Amino acid sequence: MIENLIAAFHMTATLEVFFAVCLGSFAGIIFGAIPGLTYSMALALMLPFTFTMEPATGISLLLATYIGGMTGGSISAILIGIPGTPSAAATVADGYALAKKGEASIALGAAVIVSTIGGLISLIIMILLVDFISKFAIKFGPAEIFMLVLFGFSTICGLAERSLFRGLVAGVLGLMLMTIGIDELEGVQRFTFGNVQMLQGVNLLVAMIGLFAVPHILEVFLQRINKEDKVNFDVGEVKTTLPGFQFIKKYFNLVLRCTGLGTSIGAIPGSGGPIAAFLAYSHAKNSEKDPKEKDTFGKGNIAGVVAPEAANNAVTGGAMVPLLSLGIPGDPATAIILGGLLIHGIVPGPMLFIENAPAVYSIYFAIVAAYIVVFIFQVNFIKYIVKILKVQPHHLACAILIMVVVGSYVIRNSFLDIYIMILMGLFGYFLNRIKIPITPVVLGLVLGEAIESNYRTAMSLSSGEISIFFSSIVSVLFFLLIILTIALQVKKRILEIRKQKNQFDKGAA
Amino acid sequence: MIRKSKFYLALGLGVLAFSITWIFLVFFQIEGNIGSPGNTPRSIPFFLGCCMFLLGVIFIYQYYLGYRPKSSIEGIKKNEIKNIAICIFFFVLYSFTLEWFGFLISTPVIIFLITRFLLQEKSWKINILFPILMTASIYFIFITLLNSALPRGTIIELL
Amino acid sequence: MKIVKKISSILVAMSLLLGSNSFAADKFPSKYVEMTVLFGGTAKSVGQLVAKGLEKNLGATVVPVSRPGGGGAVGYKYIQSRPASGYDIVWNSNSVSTTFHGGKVPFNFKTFAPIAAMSIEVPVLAVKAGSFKDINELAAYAKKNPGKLKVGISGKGAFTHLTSAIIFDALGVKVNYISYGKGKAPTELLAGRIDAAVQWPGQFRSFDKAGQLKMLAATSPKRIASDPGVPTMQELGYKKVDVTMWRGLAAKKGTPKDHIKAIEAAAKTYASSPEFIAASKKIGFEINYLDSKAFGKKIAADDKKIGQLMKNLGLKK
Repeated sequence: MIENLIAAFHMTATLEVFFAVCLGSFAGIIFGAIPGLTYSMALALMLPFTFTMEPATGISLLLATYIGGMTGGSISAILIGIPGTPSAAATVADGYALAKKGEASIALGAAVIVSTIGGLISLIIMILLVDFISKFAIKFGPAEIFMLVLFGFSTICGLAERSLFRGLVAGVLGLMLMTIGIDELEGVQRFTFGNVQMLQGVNLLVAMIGLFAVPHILEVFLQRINKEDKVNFDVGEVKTTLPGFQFIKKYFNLVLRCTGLGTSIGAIPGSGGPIAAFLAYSHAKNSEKDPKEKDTFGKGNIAGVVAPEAANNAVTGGAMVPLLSLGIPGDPATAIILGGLLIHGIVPGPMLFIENAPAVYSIYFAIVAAYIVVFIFQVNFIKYIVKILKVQPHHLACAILIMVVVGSYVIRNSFLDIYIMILMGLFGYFLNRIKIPITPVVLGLVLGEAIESNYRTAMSLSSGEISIFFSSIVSVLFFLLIILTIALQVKKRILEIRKQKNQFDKGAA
Repeated sequence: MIRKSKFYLALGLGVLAFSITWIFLVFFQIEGNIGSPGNTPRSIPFFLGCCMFLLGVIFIYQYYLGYRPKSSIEGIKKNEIKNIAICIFFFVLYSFTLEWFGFLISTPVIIFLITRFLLQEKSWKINILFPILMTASIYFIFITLLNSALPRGTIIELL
Repeated sequence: MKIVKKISSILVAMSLLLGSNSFAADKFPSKYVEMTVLFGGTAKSVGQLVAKGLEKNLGATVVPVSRPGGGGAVGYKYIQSRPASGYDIVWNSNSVSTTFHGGKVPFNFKTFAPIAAMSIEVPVLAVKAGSFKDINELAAYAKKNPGKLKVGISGKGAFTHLTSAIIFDALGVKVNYISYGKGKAPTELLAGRIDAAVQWPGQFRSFDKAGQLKMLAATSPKRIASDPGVPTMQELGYKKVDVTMWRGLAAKKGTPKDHIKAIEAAAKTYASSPEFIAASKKIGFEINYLDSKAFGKKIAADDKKIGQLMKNLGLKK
């Protein structure tokens, strides 16, 4: 082991690797932070450049981009309310509210700190428990993943602020959108109206860009047209203070729990960042004892930034388990990293740890280095990044307009995607107006494919017996958790109604 | 007050209409006789359609119970639809010109049109510099740095 | 009016600037070539490599552009809608036949002009180590329990499905196909949720070496260079089995001959280059260069076979 560590250290402790990590982190943060650009896009475009590099350099570049992107997604989520990546969708509610209060730098600082902590701890967990976790991950068959994803979907109860049913409408809409296109399992076309272009279906990123960015642009433009030009916040008030040690102490426990959650969800192939972030968010909200504090969720509670950011970065460590030990990528980004590993002759699977242990350790080193670099970059840049709030909103909105149009084209090089993005944007604006929350739509989009394909694969494994969903302890456990979540929600609603009624009776008397 | 409480009726009817259209489409746009019962390409979309229908019924029931939305829903403002149509027009215009004239021509022109006419920007510095800088930086990132492709424009290619 | 004039003058200036390239287009290629890549995964990795290789030998930038969706249909449709100039080429595969016969696109392989075949990938049949010793044991079990053997495939009508159908037809047994949206075959095999799976050897290799999974048979006529320990179906006595996934370059029909020749020459040089050979070993595909003519014949022969097979499976639309 020591020899391998030393060999790995020699591979990674070079100037080229250092530059690759810096470049990758920077590119990841930038692509993650600009609405319309995504870090998956950065990874895909960078992959060809790594072909000619040394293995350690090329792989460090990809990993650093991945990690930079994962943390960078929170920047635009907090500053302008548009998540840079699906994993940052859960951060929007509280992060953006904080920014509106002028506490953007606190939120950004908190996000960076907990991202780094979450990422590094998950990496340690992964290194120590890789064998155990990969054996555990194998136990997750389609039935278990279906139940897990359904449990993730039940967090809608926590996301729907005003009305549970309106939240559900949004969630179901998201699920519906994901059924458009080709059905991979049976090779059947759905809702394509005979159009070849429609076979590509609705891309999650395209839909997310539309849902969040377009309403934002429309709002700013409309204000400008109606001459109600108002800057959202007092420009002079933009602070650049960072959260201190007290802050870390206060939330360390929450960060640890969310890291554990993120690592375990990341280890299960086919789920990934967004589910972890949403589950962490609802965990933070539910575990808050103080009812007053609980009420501030969605209105600028820093725990609403801390929890999802710790969890979605913890996914990076967890996701390395199926990627390295089973060769199974959990999401599009890790799929691209897998491509990079293969080209450099690093074949993931059980033999990787035996035959090519130095390569594995150099991957660990690269991740650690990437987190450190990302941390240093971000902490030092927060001062400058928050200045973006001083830009006239309509100039920023115009730039975002161009970025989202170009960005949604570049994802799949499809003009249809641009029009779908615009359509989704109009739809998002309409939902905003009738007070249907948008975040559950994203949750539905994220989970839609996983829910359906796992349900149907499980059903065909059991030849149509529904009992497969209750045949293992894991799936029964998740089923009970779902029931518990719903029961708690129903209890809360009933109590609320009773309270209103009491007040009403008193008023009448 | 009366206008506000009609919210749930309108929402319920809208959701119902949508769910019925969706279920209708499920049967016309998806082949059904594949796979075992309860496990066809139709089953999940159909189930989702039913959920939507149920939610619509719930909203109408809430209307009968006299529910009111907790936060007020603003009515349509003066000129709102017209202004949104104009904004969306710029989105579509940009997408359209991107397809036919390519990235390099359409981007600066569209940014100029938006800042000058839609946003009524008076400063000539911004009107000229902003489009050029924006186009140049995107071009630099995608073409020079990442060796990627941006739309070349169908008409430009035919020249 | 002033503004309109200004805009139009900018437009004219820019179009002249860009147009100057295409007016001088006597020599091919005079601007960058766009290579449409239809899938992610290995297809994309190899495609990106080939684009880099072509670039070196063609003297112009070749940009790999991914247009995924519909099992390749979206990308084929794009190429079909472009002018036949040679500046839009496609990194194609057997999917040109499966998309047409599956009713996803209304045009067949004849819409495209073959340029050169570059590589083949061979699917293999794998099981959990210790479950079946060899293919005969598997066949015997499946014969005894018709429809019981669970075989993992990527999806109905996908290439892994067609390959499985050919294998199990040759064995003369009926099996139960389980579709996975994405290739999770190794874990499902390890966990015992499925009994056998047909996938690319790269997914199984590491598990095979570790003694957790066993690759029973490859479907090519010759053994796979990267996995020489795996016998072929033909060696095992099933002479008719010969399915491989080829990948190559094509343009739209009607592309000028000399443009195709130029790309073909670049492809030929790259196919025998040491980089491509090294990459084939690492990623696990076989180099199989064919010139335009031979490639065209192969596509036509394959199309006939796939069409017949999909008809038998009831997948032809």
